[in-house]
Amino acid sequence: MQTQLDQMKTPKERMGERLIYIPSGRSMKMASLGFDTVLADVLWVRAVLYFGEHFLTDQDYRWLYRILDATTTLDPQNIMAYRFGGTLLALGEDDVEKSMELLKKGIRNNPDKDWRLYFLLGYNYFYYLEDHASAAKYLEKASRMPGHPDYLPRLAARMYAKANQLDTAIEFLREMYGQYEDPSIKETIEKRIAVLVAKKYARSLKPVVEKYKEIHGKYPAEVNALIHAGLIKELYIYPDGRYVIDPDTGEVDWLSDSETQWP
Amino acid sequence: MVIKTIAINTFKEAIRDRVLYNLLIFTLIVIVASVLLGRLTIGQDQRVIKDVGLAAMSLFGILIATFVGTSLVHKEIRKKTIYNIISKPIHRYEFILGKYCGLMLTLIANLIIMTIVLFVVLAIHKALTIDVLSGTGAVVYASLLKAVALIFFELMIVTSIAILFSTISTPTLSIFFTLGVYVIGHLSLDIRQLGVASENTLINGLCSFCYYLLPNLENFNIRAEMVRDIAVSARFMLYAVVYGVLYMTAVLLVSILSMERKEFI
Repeated sequence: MQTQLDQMKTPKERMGERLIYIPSGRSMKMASLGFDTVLADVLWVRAVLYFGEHFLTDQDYRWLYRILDATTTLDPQNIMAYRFGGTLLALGEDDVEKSMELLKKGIRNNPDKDWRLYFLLGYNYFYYLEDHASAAKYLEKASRMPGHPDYLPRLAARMYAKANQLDTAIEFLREMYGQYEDPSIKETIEKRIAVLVAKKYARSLKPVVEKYKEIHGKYPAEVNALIHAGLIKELYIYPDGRYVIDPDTGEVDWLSDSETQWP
Repeated sequence: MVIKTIAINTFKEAIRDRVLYNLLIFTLIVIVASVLLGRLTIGQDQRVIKDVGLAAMSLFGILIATFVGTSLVHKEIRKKTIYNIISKPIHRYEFILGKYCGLMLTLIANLIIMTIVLFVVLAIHKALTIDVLSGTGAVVYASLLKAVALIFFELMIVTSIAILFSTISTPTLSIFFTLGVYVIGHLSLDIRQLGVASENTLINGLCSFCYYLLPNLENFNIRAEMVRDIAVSARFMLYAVVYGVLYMTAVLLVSILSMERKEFI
């Protein structure tokens, strides 16, 4: 009889109906009479099963946030749940906000506990919202925490550069330089700092390039034209790269020949 | 001496009543949690086993304390064995304390065996799986022991309350009352907050009265903290233990007074 009843509903309906009746984490915490962590474990298993089931079928995770929110209210230290939700909710673009909400809740409840929470939040800001300044802020925080991968400080600096905060990026990398002892990491950071300093100088040439346009009616094809025009006396030459001028906007940039291209 | 004799008898009676059969269910729950749930928790196996194990210890303890504790006195009356006891040179306080100690002995034996089962399952699970997220060794076990110790003090209070009700009411009602106190004991903070939120002096006063009168059993719930490596100060532990002992003493005193006034005809 139960089998017959089950067959009358689609799997989605069955799962959806069950989850609609999941009360809020706060009320469940109150009703759990001290057994909140076990209840959280049960919900956590349900979240994993729910994701697995929908991943293999319709990839519709509409109730995932609700389960994970309740799970983390009952067990605020379940860092895996924040990471799980932070990564997977963002897959459905409508849920990016929820993914970030969950990650922020994780950071609030577990400050300085896991660099990945800050990293995922920074990633979401960068990839989905294109907010490089906020991305840089969280990536910087992640790279100050124990256990972070070596590439993270450079990624944070890159975000700062993308957000046109070159001074912050340089300052941050200089601080990181002092914190590492591994010569190869120190060398990489040193190269990044050099690239940023060169970029900063290149961008400072923009007003001069604009002045050149006022005089000649067009942007210069290369930076040496600024010296020939008498607008600057000398040009700092940084090794291992070259200046480029955008012919449409007049933006001056410095591109490294060996390093990964930066913004 | 009398207390000891009654305590040992109560303990033997509990064993005869197959109270310790719950250990089998406990073992089964912990093993199922480790084998089945562990696979579904994405690297949080040990944590889930600890959560489930400690919760089961607390739950079984509460159930034994409530169901056995509430019937202790009434059973003697029903079987008319109370007449044999009170006709002997035994003080009523000795009877109550003996019964209490006997049940606590059962609960201690229960907790010790459950702790050993939990530790063994954790050790076997750790040896069989690669679990990089959870800690290991003496630190983990010491944390779990702290949680178990406070479960014991919670059971101490619940048992004393069960015995108090068993001296003044029928077993069925005593079970309801004891479980009621247990539920309120875990909601006491909410009751206090309710009073503050009501912004009514009378309700606030009433809620505060209930908050201080009823046992705050959340004082003994450090399971989440211990499993998640969150520090609990020694001062908190000490205060919780002292609170537990004082509360239990007060409740037992009331139980003894109630027993002293009881007429057995």
